[in-house]
Amino acid sequence: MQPVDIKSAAPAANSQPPGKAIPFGAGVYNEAMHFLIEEAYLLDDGLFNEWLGLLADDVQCTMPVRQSFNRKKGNGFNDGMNWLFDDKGALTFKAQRMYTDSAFAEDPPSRVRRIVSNLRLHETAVAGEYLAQSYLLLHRSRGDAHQFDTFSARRDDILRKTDAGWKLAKRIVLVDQAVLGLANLALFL
Amino acid sequence: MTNENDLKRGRTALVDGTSISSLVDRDKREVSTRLFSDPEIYQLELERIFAKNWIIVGHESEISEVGDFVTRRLGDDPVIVARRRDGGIDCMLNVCSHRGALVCREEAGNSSVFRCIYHGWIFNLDGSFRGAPFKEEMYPDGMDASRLGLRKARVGVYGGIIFANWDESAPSLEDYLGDYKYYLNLIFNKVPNGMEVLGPPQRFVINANWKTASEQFGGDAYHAGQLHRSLGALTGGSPTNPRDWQLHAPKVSTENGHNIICFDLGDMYRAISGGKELSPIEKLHILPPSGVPPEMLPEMLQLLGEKELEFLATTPPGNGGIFPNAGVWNMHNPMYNGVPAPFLSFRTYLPLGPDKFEFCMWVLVAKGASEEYRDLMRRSTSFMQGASGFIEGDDAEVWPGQTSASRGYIGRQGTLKYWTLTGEHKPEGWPGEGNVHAGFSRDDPQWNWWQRYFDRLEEKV
Ligand code: FES
Ligand SMILES: [Fe+2]
Repeated sequence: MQPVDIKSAAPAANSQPPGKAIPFGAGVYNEAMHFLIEEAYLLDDGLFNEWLGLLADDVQCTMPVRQSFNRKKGNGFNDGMNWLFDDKGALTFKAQRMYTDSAFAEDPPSRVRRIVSNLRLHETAVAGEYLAQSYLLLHRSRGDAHQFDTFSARRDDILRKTDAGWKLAKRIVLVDQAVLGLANLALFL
Repeated sequence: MTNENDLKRGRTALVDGTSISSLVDRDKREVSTRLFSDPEIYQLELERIFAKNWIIVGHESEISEVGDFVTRRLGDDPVIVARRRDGGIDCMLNVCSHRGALVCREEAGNSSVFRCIYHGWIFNLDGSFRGAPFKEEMYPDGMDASRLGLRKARVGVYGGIIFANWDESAPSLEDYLGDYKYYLNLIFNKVPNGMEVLGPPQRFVINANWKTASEQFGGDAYHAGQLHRSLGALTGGSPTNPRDWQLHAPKVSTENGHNIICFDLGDMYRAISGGKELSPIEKLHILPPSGVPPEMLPEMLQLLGEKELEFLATTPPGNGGIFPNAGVWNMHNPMYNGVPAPFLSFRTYLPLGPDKFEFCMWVLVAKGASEEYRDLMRRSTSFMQGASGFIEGDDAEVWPGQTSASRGYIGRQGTLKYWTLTGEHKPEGWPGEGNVHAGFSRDDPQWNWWQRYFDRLEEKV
């Protein structure tokens, strides 16, 4: 069984190579960065309904598993098996579950801090859609444990600029761990 | 050199004088909570459970070509599982016979030999010693290759699942699985070409003892209506109706500690058909068993006998545990839109010390299943199973609590209760083997799991 080599997840995210790079500080760059910062804020503060408002109706959120290979074999991502493979319906159910009294995995909730940075923004073949590659460093404090659970990844997003504001249209989470150090992913990445 | 195993054999007490047999009360059916965090018990488990039973290390389809390998753990020992030239499978200790370095550091790949990076000793695909650099100069008196191969475990494959066992005197895998094979066949051998994995397993670490998850998969149907109450939003299940949580579904326990819950699909089919009685074949067409895409259903109908098809259409084997540390999950559950989706996985709970384990989950489909069907399986898995599944996320919240609570001086004096049994009732015409517990679902299979566990820990078998 051969791993799928996603050398850069960008083509997989949009089925074509990224277009023109948008420089740091450009207006559209600032808007995209602002969107990601705002998204992290909503999730960290448990504003899940508001977060759902940022998702396009056709949003797809995936996260392939990753294995540890020698360098010449690529980065170890495998498209066959995933940590996440959620569409809007699944994300909506999971987010709305957080408001019920039976979401035990996150109730009491973890204290989570999502640090989003290193945004590289590119145009795509679709007008108004941008490939946004950002780094995510997530700290999760659970119960009375004094150690944080941490998670880090690159996220390759397709952000769509619409009349109703920016929307997340696609997200591929490119995790840095082969063996995940989180007991569950009952949070949104 | 004394063999460490010889020293340990026959040991019946822990260093503080507590006898191992006192950790279980076989009359009252209670088990000491101390088992969930005691480091000494953990060491005994590695010796008496993980080195003596058939332990799952992977799936055949992960290493389908000659030279394919994966690195895994067997107990807490690193192993290489590789496909030999003759098509057979080997499982060998991933530790160099020279000075103990890790021989293979990749998680998977294809190779014709394994070369240790430290001094360069080379081993064949089957683990036998092949050579060393500067052999003549370094070892002028020669090398006894027969003593230098990687240590090998026995390997057995059932339903495509690869098991390994360090114990030369243990019964065969077929005997170990025994009556359980009937149910495994209906999960993993239901199509002529068998199943394959979607890809490498999900692997994640939970700060809990491996037994918290393993004994739950030993047949704990009781927790679903409470811990997994979220499911009710999709199934319409009411917290007060035991049928909604399959607590009336027959459970089966077999010798050696395996078990399976056979879910009753009656209510579901009645809801689909509006009360009209359906034939088994009609039912299977409406909802082909998990892993079998609709277009491959005819292959299954041709392969299986009438009795088996009827069984799959009424009370198919669903959720169960393979002793000591594995589980299978084979069922349908409604997705967020109410449409039932298939789930098919097996998982192992790998010990990483008394208070930590790795959850390792493989997802399967029939060999040759369409990409569309694979996507459906990816979707349903992400929604409900494994790290991101909203069902198993809640389980992962309970196990660490059980573990840390058993560390306290007082907490470890408590017991786990398995008081209540359904008893053995085999419904008429039940086609399978084993002890069938039809009736309200109680503690029978989990108690069976613990009895086998203690038989092993006390070296009764
Ligand atoms: S330890 Fe492997 S060659 Fe020396
Ligand atoms: Fe559970």
